[in-house]
Amino acid sequence: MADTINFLRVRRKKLTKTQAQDKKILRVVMIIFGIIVVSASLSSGVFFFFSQRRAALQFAEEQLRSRIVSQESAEKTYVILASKLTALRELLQLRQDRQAAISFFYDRLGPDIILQEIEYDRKTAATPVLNLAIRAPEIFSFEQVKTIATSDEVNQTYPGISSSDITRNADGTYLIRLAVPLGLQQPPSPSDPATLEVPSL
Amino acid sequence: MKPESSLTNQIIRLVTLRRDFMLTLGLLAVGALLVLFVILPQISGILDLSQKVAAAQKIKTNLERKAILLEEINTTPLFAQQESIDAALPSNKPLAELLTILSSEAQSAAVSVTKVNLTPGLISTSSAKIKPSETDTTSPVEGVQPLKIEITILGTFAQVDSFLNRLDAVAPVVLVTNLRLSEQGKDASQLNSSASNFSATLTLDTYYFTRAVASAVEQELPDVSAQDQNLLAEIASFTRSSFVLPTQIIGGGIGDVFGLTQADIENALVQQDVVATTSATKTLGQ
Repeated sequence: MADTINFLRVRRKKLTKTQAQDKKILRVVMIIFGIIVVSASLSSGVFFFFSQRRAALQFAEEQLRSRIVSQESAEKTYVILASKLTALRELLQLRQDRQAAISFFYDRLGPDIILQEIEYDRKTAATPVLNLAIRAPEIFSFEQVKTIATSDEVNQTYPGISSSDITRNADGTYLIRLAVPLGLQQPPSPSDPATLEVPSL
Repeated sequence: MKPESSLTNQIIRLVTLRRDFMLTLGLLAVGALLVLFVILPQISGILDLSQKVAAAQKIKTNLERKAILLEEINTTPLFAQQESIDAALPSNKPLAELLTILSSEAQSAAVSVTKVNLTPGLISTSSAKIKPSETDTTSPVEGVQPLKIEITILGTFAQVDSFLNRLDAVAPVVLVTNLRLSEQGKDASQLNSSASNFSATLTLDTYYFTRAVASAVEQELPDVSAQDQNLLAEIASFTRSSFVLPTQIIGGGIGDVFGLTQADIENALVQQDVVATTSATKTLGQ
């Protein structure tokens, strides 16, 4: 009697093993798919949130813009006033520097000596120059002017100061011209009388 | 057996026997599609949106701040001092204002103004705007133009000094750019004595605002610092010109400046027509 060989059994065993392996893989893939679905949902949610937020901000921005535009005339006036104030600050600062220099020399020259001519030369914008024509009634006062003009205090406060055109007039008076560069001066100390009082002449 | 039916059978067998495997392939395909067409574009969109939201938030914050400031703008010190600022730095050439204030300050300082010399300043129309490069050379400060005036005053040294001190506290703002002093009919020994009369020739620059100011909605309002508050107080203390711009024409259009009535004009026209007709008739007759 011939033995029967069951080939189907071996095949079914192999198939069952493959199916079990497929199940395992499916389980893993289902987990991954679940993560993908959750991620897609989350990203959609976040995208929707940001879209809504942006739309709300745009709406608020439009409303704020219309509020600002409705006050355009007030804004224009304010901006012009602020620009004017800036210009005034610069003008007054310019005047203050010049006044401080005049006052500095006026305080040191004494009562006999006249600041005969004062010219503010702003041709060089960085260092405007104050030209002073100082007149002394006699030689001793003139010597005093020269001493003051060449003193350490003057040179430290107004570096670059120069004198020129020393003339003796027919009436016996002496004239000396000083060029005082204003952009280079050292900040005056608090005890400096020039900072306390700033007369024009 | 046909080959198609064999293939179909094989597929049916595969689906039947390896259902899980097929499902796995399907899930992987759908997952890949989700990642490629949903998740990745959305992540990119989220990054883009988050940047836009941050920028929009910043703009909104700035606009909110500006809107609040604008609502309270009428109560700011700058607005309160509007008249003082406009008087100190007007937007038009302040010639009449300057002459008025110089006259009153000269009276207060007891000096007499003997000569006034004016220069008109830059002339420009809306169709011929002043170029910035042209203006910058003449003005020490950006956005303003000088109006030059030369005056000669007579007085004692103290009076001249008083006048010059007063010029520092007038509106419109004045800058003395040149000053020449000369004594009148005194010898050198009397220089600077209180009895000496001095002639002072002053070149003054007053200024008017010419800057074209532009403002955008997003642009922040300029700040007024504590230093500016002191400046505002200083400007407010300036003596202002009493000059008032005329705003109405008295008698304009009521009377005829030539003393003619409408009837006179019509009669004159009729007579002119009659004379013309007569002379034409005579010419034709000849």
